[in-house]
Amino acid sequence: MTNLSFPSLTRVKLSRFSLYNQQPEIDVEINEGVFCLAGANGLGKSTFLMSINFGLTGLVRDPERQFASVEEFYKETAAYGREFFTGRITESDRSLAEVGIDFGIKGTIYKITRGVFDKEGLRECLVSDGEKTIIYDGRNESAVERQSNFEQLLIKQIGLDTFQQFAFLQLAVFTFDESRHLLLWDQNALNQALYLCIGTDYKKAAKAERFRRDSERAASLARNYSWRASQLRSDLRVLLKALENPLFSPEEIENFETIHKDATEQVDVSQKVVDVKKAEANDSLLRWAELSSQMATINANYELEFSKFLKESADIHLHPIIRGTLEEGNCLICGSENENVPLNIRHNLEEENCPLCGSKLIPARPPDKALARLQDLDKQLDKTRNDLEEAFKRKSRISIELSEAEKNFKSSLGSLQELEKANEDLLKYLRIHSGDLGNAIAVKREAMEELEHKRDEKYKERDDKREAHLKLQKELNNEYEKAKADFVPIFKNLAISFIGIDLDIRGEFSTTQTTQGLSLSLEVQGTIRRNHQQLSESQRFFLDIALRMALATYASTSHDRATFFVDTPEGSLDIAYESRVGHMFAQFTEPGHNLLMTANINSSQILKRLARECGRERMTLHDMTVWTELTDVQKEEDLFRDVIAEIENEFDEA
Amino acid sequence: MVASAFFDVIAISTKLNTFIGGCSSPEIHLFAYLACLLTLFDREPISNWGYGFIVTENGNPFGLEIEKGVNLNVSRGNLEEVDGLYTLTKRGKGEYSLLSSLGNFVRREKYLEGSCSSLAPLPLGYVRQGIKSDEAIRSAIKLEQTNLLFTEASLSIMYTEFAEILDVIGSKTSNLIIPSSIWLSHRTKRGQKLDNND
Repeated sequence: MTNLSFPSLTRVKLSRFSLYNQQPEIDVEINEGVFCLAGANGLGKSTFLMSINFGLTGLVRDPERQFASVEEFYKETAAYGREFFTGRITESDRSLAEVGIDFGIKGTIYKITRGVFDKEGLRECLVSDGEKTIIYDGRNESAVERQSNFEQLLIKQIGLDTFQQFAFLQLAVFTFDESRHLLLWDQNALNQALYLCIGTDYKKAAKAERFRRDSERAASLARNYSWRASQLRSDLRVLLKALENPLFSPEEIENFETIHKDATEQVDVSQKVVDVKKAEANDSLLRWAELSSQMATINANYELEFSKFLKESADIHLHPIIRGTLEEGNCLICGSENENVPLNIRHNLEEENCPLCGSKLIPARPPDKALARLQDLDKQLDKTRNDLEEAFKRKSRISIELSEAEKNFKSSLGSLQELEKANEDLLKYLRIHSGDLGNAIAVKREAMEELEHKRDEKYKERDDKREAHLKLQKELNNEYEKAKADFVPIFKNLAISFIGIDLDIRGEFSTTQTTQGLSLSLEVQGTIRRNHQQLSESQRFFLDIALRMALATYASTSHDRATFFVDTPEGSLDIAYESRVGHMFAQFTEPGHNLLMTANINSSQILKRLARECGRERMTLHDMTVWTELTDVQKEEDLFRDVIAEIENEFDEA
Repeated sequence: MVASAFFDVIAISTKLNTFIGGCSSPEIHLFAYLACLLTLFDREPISNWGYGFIVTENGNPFGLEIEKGVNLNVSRGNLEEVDGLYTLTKRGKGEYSLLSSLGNFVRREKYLEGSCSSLAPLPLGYVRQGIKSDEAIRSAIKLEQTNLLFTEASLSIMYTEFAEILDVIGSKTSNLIIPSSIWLSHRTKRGQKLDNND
């Protein structure tokens, strides 16, 4: 058996996770066995799972990306994490949001913290022996150094060759997430998974993948050279034929050339007219805008001057309150009736003081100056208005002319294109004959031969790489043959505990060009299901999970068993199958593997069966409905409480 | 307060005094609104008028700048208010005469004259009804809501109506009494028809 040691999580901390708006600081202890995060739709269960994988690897799997190789998987997935968390973390929390994971492996305790939007690496990495000895403390190092040291330490302890291999296993094999990507029917990914979980030489796993990718690239290039060479071969045929038999008479050629020249000139001329009109249109628009701006400025000045005019010519004696008070002898503001009222007002007015507030009055004067200024502005307004009208008329005229010019251009271009289409062969013939024909043939022949040579080289390279890849695949196949006695029963136990019908899994070794190497095929009730469509949705999902769990079981040491991650596994299962899934999961954890899952709080039998078989010693149910505000529909919390109580009861039945 | 509104108030008061003697504030607003509408005959953009209007719950056009203009003219002694009716004072006549010499205001005379002179062939009630038959105004009355006037839809209808009238009476005209009266009559009849259907 392969001896890989896998991390066993003990704690997960999420900080400034705005998605969990009621509790953005999450601190959860993970015990051995089953950890189930139970919640409602849209609360962020998948995000929790993705965050853990992100914390461990720095990656969130991109559901749209097809698997090509382990190295490409790692490189191309790197940027997706930031895209995933954008929207789940608010802008103000962006620099602060982080994921903290505590885990143990081979007795060593790791404590890591990763910033959600950090590109370089870890914010914290502390490795100890679980007692007092610090093996590594990255406190005074850069994020890049911390990340690099973490990777090296971890890989060495797990037993793999590269961190990319760990990331691949963690995200693509030991996690069944909401993208529902199927490993069993992904030849390339499955092949790598077999290498890493069943093969023993991890350097060879990377090598095999490189050979496969290199051979694919070489084949692609060879096809490209071949296609280009065949294009040139086709051109050569035309050229050689032209040498033998001239297709058109000199009169035909001369006639066409004359008409074509006229049509081309017509297009050029009309294009020039369009260009000129466009420039004129721009100018007229600019002029009109400039005058509009001038108009606005003069109008603003006009208003200012008019205010001055009103102020200068205001006569307080004429104000209805003053006038009325003087005429009637009683104050029109407070109603006082005595002879002093008009006297006081008259006195104030004679002293040139405002009778209301006492301010010094500016005596009214004929507003000649203000009027003169207004008249001057009037003239400016008139002139600008006229200029604007002119500019507008010009703009309108040019717009019509531009439209016409564009129409003419379109028409003449159309005519030229029609002419060329009707005389396509003649044009081709002329193009070929327009240069030194012999020279053209020699150049093309040379280029074609060069491409053919490159094609042949690339095909050879492809074949060499395939040969090397096949050799390594044969070694893997041999490893599988040795392993299957242990591996297949593990898988069958898990799979049959779910599906309840006779099935088997076989290794298949293919040497064909398209599917070279080892793969697995599933046989259900005597029929091989090569296409996933040949199973129902639930069957393919859970058999895929069974395969992954079997790989995890086979690959783990007895002390550091793998943790399997599954996101909301319930779906379109009937009640009996739900229970069987619970049983399958319980079976997986029985030898000591861990299961970290999320689930909706509903009456699914999965959790009940799990709770009954695992008991409180081996299962923790964590209710996340308090992390986020529920919708009005979800706020019928009694439903959730009832279901949780039912599951809790199952613990007591264990 | 914009200068044009100040002038319009004093001009409308002068002209209405000829036809109906003292005029009320709603009447000044009404004829200012009609004058603004008449600029559409010359295809002038409505924004060139200088200020806008809303319609109140009871269907009366109201211009804030006009209201300011009325108050300022009163405080300057150009208008005298008695029992809610405004008449022009001697000072007002003088100020109107002075301001009428300014080219910026001379341009507006055509529309103000056209608006107020519609009282020559038509009674005031007819003019009021004609203006109130506008869709936006009818809607405001029905829903008891204040609304903006000169929406795209109502302007589009007015442009069409004015164009049809001009087709009948001939091209651009310097005197707007005739097209104004025709339009108001047509609108009044249409309004009566719509009222009967309601």
